[in-house]
Amino acid sequence: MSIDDIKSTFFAECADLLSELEDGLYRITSDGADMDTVNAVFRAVHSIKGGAGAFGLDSLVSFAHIFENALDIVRNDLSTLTESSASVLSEAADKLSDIVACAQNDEPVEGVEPIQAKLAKEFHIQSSHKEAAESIDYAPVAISLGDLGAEEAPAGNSYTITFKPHFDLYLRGHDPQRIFRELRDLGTCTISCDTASVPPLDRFDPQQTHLSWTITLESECSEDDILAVFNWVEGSCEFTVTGGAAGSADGEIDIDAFFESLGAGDGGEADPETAELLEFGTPGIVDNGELAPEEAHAALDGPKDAEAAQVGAKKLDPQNARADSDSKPAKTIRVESNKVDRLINLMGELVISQSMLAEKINEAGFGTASPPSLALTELQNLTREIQSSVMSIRAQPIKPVFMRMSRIVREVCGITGKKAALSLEGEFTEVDTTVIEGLFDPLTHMIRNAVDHGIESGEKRREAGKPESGTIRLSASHNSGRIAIVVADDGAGINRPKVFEKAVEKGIIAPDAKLSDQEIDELIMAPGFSTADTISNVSGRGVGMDVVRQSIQSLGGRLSISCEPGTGTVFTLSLPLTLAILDGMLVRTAEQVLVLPIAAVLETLKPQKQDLVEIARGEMCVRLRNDLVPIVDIGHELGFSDRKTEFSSSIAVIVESANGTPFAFAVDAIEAQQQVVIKSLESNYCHVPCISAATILGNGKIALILDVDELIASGGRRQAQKDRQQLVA
Amino acid sequence: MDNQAHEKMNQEEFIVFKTGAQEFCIDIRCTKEIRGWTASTRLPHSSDYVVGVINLRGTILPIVDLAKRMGLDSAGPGERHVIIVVQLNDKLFGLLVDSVSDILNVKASDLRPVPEVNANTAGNIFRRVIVLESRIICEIMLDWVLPEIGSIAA
Repeated sequence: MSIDDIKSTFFAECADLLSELEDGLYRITSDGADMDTVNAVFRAVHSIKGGAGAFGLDSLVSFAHIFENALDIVRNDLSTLTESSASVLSEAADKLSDIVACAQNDEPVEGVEPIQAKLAKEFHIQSSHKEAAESIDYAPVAISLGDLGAEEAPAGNSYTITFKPHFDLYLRGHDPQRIFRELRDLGTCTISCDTASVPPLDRFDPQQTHLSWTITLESECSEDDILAVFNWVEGSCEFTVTGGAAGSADGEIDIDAFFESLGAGDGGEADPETAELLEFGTPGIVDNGELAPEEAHAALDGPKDAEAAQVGAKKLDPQNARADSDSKPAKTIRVESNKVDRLINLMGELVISQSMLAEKINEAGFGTASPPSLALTELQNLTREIQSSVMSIRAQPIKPVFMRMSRIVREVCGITGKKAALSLEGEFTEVDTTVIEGLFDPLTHMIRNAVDHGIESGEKRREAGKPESGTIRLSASHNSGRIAIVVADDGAGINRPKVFEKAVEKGIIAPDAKLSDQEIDELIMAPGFSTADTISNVSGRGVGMDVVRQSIQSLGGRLSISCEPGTGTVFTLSLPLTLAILDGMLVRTAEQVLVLPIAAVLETLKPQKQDLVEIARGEMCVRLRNDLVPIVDIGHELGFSDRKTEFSSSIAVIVESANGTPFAFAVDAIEAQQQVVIKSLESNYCHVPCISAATILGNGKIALILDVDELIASGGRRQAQKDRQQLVA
Repeated sequence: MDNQAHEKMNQEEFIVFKTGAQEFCIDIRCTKEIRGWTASTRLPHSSDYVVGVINLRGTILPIVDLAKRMGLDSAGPGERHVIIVVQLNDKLFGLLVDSVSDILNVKASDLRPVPEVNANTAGNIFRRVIVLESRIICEIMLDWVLPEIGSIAA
């Protein structure tokens, strides 16, 4: 490993630390400061400083040092953290990430002094603090001792156990030796055997038991632990336990109570198998000896186990649980993403070969219950599982991207002099990394726009009776196999007359065009459109929303806009969860096999003649219960066939559009339902309208994957054009 | 020996193929492989010279009917056609031609610039012209074949 490799590792770690820093500062500003968060922030800065020192990145070290000093002051006295000082810290964090970026590219750093001065002023940093910061290293990490729910047993209990097996015990295949061994595991045992009742040899009956034992046990264990040892032999022996701190002097064991406690012991889910067995919770199962003593042991001992204690903690307090998982991060490894990509590609090939195999088995005439088919089903289940595990490797929370947006908001606010806060929701939503990477630029653009164009200036907001500071809501959520990201501002909304005017001015639409509100809103996504009167530093260069829309589309996503004048604008991004594999429905129309994403399919039906209605101008609808659903003739829409007028021989696949309204796609037949591997058409060709990608079927042929929304929209556009033509005529 | 090597250095290799009853060629270094015709999948809303896409060992490969692209008579794809897989920048695509006839080693002195017949068209379609004793073969400018690719790169 060369120094450069180590350096690049350092920068990779820096990126992680910076996002941790950003995250911490966000939590401080939104939820108020607590010691853990401040410590986390401090640690992040400290680690960056340490690493930077090793590589001789002096500018980074000196800035991180001052930053660290400021944080140290906060750490020592949380009351120093005010709104203004928090914003200075945020600014410093932004600068720090700039300096890291500059150091990475070997560029000179600019504008450090003003921020340094601000930090020094805000926190009254004197040189003496330097030493203080140096002397303090990592803050102690809280360690949970995991004594939750554990039996308190004072050390050094002394128990006296008497044990007299019945013959029964031997019949059942038990062996007293096992019991002694287990007792020995609990502590120090002194075992004495009472041979007094052993008869002389001539009177010896091998069918009788004659031995009994007395055991003294020095142990820290509880009485229950001892009872657990005898768990398997109860009923076929006499035994008593005396002594211990609890002082259950008489030593009579209440077996029922004991088993009740055993049933209640499932708080310690140390071993999933045990937990499963215990879920039945019945002494019966325990009784018939299916549960190995070790497992029962674990079940009783469970709460002592650290992991089990954590489970307990989570049950008790979900918030604690988060802190817990924070302090004990899952073990991770850094893997180059192209290795994972390769795995995913191979996964794709596997899915294709699997469907080839399925086709061959089908051709050979094996029934669904035949051994080859059953083996195939097994394989398919496995493949699916492997696939989801592989995909989950690449899935990551969207949080880092979201966190970077708060910086964008701050910067744009600084330039425009407006006030706005960013509120985040669903930042733990997991998305494929490739999608996350592609999201940064479009989101940045939209956030900039939201502050620059969306949020009004302070006075205007006051006049409109809104709080002076605007709010931008950024949320992510899973929505029927896709991820929905919403960027909403509470600004003035889209100024429709102005947009219309500008669009005419720029020659995007004809002056006499008649557009609905929705269509006017969508004009802002037209190429070369910009409404800002003055071209600001931030946005308004005319390469705006159309670029955003294109980049979203290249991710296989859609961008929609809705706006309520006066109350704000909402942009909704809908993106696929992954760019690799999709559950598809194979349909045939005009001799072509096409793939419909299952996520979009609501149901399929064979329309009866009386259910088909002709709405004006040859547009057909099918009756779906109490609704009329417009029919889209896919074959015609794609230019494969002439327009159909007769749909009674077709099959209608009811799909849901982006805004939730149903449409019926007319197809000739439904061929199959299977997983398909998404293969880009763009990699060797270009974007094809109404087609999102292609795939390779089991027979080696290519099938196109339909873009449901584009298909619907293209039908809709045609309709709108027709309407307009009619209006003009 | 030296002389021969030098001569080799100054030579370029071309793949010569027939389409629309004419001979054309392309630089052999752009050629990845030559394969028989397999049924393609049509692409909606595409130019008429784009036959469709085929599966080339897991890669989606667009196929261009070269005759149609050049405005020559084309009977449409059939069993006898061959596909020349070519690479342009980082994109792969297939040229549907009637048959591959030759691999030519051409001396630099036999390569001529395209005559300015009708400046725009010929200059765009052809890169150079090979003039041999008995044959004249135009080298196809691959950038021109599939403008859909060009527009993405631009």
